[in-house]
Amino acid sequence: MFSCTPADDWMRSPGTVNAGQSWSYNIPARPNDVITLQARALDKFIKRERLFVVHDNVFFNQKGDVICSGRGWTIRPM
Amino acid sequence: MTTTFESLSAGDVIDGPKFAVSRESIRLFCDASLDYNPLHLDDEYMKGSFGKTNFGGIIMHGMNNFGLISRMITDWAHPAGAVHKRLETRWVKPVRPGDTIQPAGIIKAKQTTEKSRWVLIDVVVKNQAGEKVATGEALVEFPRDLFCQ
Repeated sequence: MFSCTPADDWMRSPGTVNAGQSWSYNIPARPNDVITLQARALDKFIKRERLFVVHDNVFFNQKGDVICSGRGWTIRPM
Repeated sequence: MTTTFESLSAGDVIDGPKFAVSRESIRLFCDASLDYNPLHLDDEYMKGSFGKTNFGGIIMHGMNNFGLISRMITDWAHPAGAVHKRLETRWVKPVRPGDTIQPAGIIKAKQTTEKSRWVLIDVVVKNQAGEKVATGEALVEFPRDLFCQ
């Protein structure tokens, strides 16, 4: 995922703690494929005095097929 | 004995490989994942607190747990012609250099649908003290005929 995002992307804020991930694998990625990531924040909320963000991540190949998709939960710096 | 869908029962256990965590292994994971978050590298940064949490030092990537679980599931499924389809995890305790962690799986349920056959697996990763550091659930498909997919 990080190879698809620049170093200053909001997903890579220093101090972000990964709380959990859920990934589903759809089709294989093969040599010579070109992978694209579409990611967005779905939700953010305060819980136990921590700021949680819910991420939606989908990887596509060059034909637009979904390779895998995932949802992540991170704890962000306040 | 080769694992088959028919031979599996709820409660069957899958043992994963032990993994010794070190600063070097964490650094290697940084390079492999391109995740250079100071949580995993910077002792000075980790003297600070994260809300109410102070980790007391650098911690392993949560996704290193994910990789270890994936290896266990794949090593178990592949020889049986099965395919790892889904993994959901929660990181419940930080893992630090010097820890030794080990994933395990317990077959929770089997289900047959019109298109395929599925196995649900509870997964857990524990450290050397027997503490759970990650929990989750995996889904593995046992295609009736892998070569017809």
